[in-house]
Amino acid sequence: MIMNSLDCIKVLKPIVGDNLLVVWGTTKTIEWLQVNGKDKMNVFTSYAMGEAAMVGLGLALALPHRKIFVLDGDGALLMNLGSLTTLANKAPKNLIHILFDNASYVSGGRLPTFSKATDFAAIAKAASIKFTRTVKSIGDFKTAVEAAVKQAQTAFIVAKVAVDEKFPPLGTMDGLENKYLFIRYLESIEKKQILPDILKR
Amino acid sequence: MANLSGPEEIVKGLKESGVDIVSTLPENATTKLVSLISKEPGIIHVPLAREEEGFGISSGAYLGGKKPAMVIQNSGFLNSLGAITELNIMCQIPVLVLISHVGHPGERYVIHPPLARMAEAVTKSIELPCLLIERPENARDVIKNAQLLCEVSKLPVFVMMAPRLLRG
Repeated sequence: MIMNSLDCIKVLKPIVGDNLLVVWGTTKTIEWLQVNGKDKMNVFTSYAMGEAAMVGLGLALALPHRKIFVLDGDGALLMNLGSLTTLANKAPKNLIHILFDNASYVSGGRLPTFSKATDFAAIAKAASIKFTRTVKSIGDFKTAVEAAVKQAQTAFIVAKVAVDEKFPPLGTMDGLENKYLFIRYLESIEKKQILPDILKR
Repeated sequence: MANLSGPEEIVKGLKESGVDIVSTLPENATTKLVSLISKEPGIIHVPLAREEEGFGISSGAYLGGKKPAMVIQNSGFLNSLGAITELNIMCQIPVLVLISHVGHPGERYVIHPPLARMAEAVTKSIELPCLLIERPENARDVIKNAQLLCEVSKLPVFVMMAPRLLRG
């Protein structure tokens, strides 16, 4: 039986701890909030298809002492496949890029992507990301993520998952609210001001 | 003191504005500027494969407490509207975008004028500020004011750089 992304996210929760997530799209964000609760907003949603790993790269460079987990989708990454080379070129030691590959544009009506014929891990390796894995079971997913966390190098993990049978109920949080909640959470754990007080200059 | 070149004034402006991470995709006109940025202590330089990536990287860097900027061509700005809309405008995330404005009056390449015309039109249509630098002596002040506007408005600000400014 094919694993699903929600089970993967349950595995991720204790591993992520006080680190940060960048997630492509609404569905995975809602799944994360279902599992993790809303008290600590350590998740930022990138609505721009293909940009989740790039947002993660910016965060990883800004906060080299924290692990940054990127949760991506196959349709989104196909839209910006070249970003794997940009990621590999900077190769931050604290970024773990997890690709949930269900070979489908789920929110676009479950039409197939062509990722059944695409070896994303091989592409990432060819781009010079050294730590790559492709996993198909929850046990292997947990092992791969735990190994990635112990590495001091960029990691890329492809998790082959089932097409979601139904969407989780849509939340009401938009990008602006998400930004402020994420920054305020980050300010609390980093113990520093992130949004500048411009009038005090 | 000898007058600084356009690229040198631009880097001074970035430093005095507190910019500390710059994503770039070079082209003929920005060769010197990108080279200076890549060697500048205190600035993280992120080379891009495609300009739109820079808006993602800058957004993440801003969320993490950095002051981001970008150096791209106007054609690359036109490549980037998805991220600009769905990240920077939707979430109100600022980034200072320095745009090599090929096709600006004074140039001889026949393929460039449509890029200049369309880029200017698009900045107006998405209602984001667009400033112009033509001379080195104005560069530093324009950049510092643009960065301040970025931070106050929490939106991208575009600074068009005339190609002749970038030679030097």
